[in-house]
Amino acid sequence: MERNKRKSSNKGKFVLLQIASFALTIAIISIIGLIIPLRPKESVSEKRKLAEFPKITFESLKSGDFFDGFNSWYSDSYPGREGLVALNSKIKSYYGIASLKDDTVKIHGDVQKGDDIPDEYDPSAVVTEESTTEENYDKINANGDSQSIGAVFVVGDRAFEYYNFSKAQANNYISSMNKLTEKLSGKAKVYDMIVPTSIGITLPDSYMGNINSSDQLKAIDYINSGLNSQIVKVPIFKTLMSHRSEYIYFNTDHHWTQLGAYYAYCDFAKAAGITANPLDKYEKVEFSGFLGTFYNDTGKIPELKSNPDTITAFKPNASATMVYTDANGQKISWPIINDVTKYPESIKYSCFIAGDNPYTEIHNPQISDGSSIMVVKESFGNALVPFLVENYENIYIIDYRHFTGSISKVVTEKNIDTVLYINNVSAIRNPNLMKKLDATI
Amino acid sequence: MVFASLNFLCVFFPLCMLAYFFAKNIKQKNTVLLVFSLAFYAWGEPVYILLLLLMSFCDWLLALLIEQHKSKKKLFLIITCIVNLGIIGIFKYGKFTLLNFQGLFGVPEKIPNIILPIGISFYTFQLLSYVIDVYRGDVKAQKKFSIVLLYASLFHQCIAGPIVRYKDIEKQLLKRRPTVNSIHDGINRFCVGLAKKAVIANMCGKLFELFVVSDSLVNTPEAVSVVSQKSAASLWLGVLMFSMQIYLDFSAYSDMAIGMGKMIGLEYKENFDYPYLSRSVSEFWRRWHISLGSFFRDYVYFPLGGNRKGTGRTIFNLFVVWALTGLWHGASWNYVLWGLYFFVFIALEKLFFGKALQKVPVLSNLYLLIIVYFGWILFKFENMSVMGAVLKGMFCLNKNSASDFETVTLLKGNLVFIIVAIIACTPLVSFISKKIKFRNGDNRNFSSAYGVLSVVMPPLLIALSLINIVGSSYNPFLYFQF
Repeated sequence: MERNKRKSSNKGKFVLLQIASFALTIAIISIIGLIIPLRPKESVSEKRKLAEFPKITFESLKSGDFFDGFNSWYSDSYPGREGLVALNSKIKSYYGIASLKDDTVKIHGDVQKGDDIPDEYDPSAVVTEESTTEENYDKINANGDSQSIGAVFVVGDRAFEYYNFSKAQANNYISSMNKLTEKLSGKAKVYDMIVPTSIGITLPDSYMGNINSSDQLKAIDYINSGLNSQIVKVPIFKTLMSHRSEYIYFNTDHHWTQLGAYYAYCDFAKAAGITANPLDKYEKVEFSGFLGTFYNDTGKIPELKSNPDTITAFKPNASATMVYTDANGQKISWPIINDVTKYPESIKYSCFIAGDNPYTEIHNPQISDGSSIMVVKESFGNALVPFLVENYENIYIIDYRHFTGSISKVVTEKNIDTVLYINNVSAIRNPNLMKKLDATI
Repeated sequence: MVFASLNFLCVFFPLCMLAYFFAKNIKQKNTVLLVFSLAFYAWGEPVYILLLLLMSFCDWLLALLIEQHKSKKKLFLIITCIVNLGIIGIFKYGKFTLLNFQGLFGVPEKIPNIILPIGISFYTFQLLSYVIDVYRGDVKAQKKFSIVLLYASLFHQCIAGPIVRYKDIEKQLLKRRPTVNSIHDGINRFCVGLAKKAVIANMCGKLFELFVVSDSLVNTPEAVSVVSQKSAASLWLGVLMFSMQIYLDFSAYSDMAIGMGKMIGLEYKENFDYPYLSRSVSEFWRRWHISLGSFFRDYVYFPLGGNRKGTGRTIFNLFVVWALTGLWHGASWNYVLWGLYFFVFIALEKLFFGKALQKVPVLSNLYLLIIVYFGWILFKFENMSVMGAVLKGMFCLNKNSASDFETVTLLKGNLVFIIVAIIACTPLVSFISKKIKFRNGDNRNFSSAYGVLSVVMPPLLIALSLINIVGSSYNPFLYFQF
């Protein structure tokens, strides 16, 4: 009797404690949600502003927009969100199994197969890069676990972006470039550089050809085969392949390193008949702790965090000056290589030419031959431009994603005789970018 | 608003419980529940709250009329059916009917875009069952409109069930007092349901999207090309993921509703009983969404004569019930197809091999799982050409491979999770915990350990769910757009 009573009171104690622990938990999470000052306003790693508190109007109340807005605001800016996101990835990293072999793999994203790549652009074809099958490139072995997340493939602590060829966008690119060349015919020579992404170059051999990522060399060959014969194609694929065991692409970010860009610069120099500066002539600066787009796109997976990138930047010797024009039309002078030591971990790639701006000019006072080049690029071009400073008096840089004017107009106005287009192969499958590229011609 | 969201867990629920706690008597407590329920509904559908109010009012009035004018009660019942089925017909099936009409006859040219009011299928059925029960004399008509409105709008079940019968909770609506133990059980039920939804069901849904096609595309023609590229293994696994998602998601919602009911002394009937362990299609439907099955049984099948009017009539009655069950799930032909698909098997079981199935345990389990598995394909893909591409792809008829690197990668990367999800679809965990509890019931150390666990579980499950909910809101912009 006595024992039974004690037992039931013991049970009763736990029952009450359980109710209390539940109430307390709910109270804690709701109070945290109430601390407005703790709420983040923007996410640096997602590169976006977080949802704001919605406006209260009769219309928004009636349509329900206010309530949707409230829900997004409440959860989007919940205090400690970034930490919770990383924790969520950490938990999910235990969802899989480690296989007996050294390469355990994981997928966490929508991989879309690319279109079949025709051998040649119809009707005429100019192939500048031959097949690489007979080449002897360095071997890259996978070590560590590999996983593939989203359209991002992760091998151990290194990530690669899936590439799916789009024939329609490739054709758009070809026709835009041909149209531009016709417009500039007699005024300027057009150089075209298509940069492979890391999945086409530095992906470990055991995955090359096995995963649903399109063949980049074939894609580049196809595009080149469609380009007007007046366009000088800068064939950098094989060059990068021959340096594939070097640190030419970041592990946590989709960009190439400046070393990779340097090899491409040498190829351009060869094609344009200028002298490439040796690398050891540059002053080297390093920015460590870079966790780029792959880290953020995969939801901050711990594997990548354990292996942050270091950006090695090569400073031009010349006392060149750079002025960029931002989206609001403001002109701002900025160092060509900026010190990003104190920048957030996710945006350190912006150390090169102030990141992505609609229009930028660099002038090198040590050269006075009137030489000018225009570089039309997306962000891959940022790492290459600083090398050109030693070769040209005037560099005009246009980021076609943000530029709203006409490139051919600028070429005429500034009397530019060399135009270099730099695009990573992945940009040439994006309909929005191809539309913008065409609009800036 | 959905239960597994931050604004529900951190704002709505605590506010509601706090107000409920401070309300002094049942009248005040009911007022708190009603105000919060209407706010809950209005949160998602500010305009359609009027529809809910209107329907509740009509049915409240009609139930009273039926009771007061016994001689004309049949007429009032017919009016009730016309009003309720008419409204759901317009709002849920209006667009579907017009689309089909247009397809056949070319008119009308323009089809108005009618947005489906949330929960209309659930609260209409609740109200309908209330009036019919009054008509049958099973329950007395409620004089107070607010009580009928509370019954129809109660946020626990208004939006996604279970379809509660008025007669089951009539007394509790007017007088209830939760015991400490029922609160304890309610909390457990709620937390388990929350984690089941936020941690497991949502991830199953995400895996379906990765294995098959993303939900934003699934009902568009573009899905065909995406699906056609997927390996056969990928599609098989994807459908498995959806089979688990739909059970875990739906039953988790019922768990949370039942749990919240228990916390305040409302006892709702069970809505799921581990349906995937059934051995026949008939049994499956007695264990899956029980409140819907019993609704059709009590208000359609039995009134039509059930199985008492000969084999031919029984089959016809089953046909009607299953066509309606299919249609209830959505205004699209694939749902009707899905309902009739089950009708075929239930009829076959009734006529031929129902008894034989009971004698072969494992085989009958497999039989049921295979039928339900393919049933979910009919259910999931509203677009018939996407459905066709999936079915073809599962047998490598899209020139697709049996398996590929991505499929294996995805499977390996989530194998532990998938096994956990499969276990979550079975009563294994609750079976083991009951067994242990029973065996060691007298052991003090053990019951202490069990007690400690029960105290630690709610914060743990809520934290896990919170991390998942916030984690899935993580939505990095494509860097190219930046």
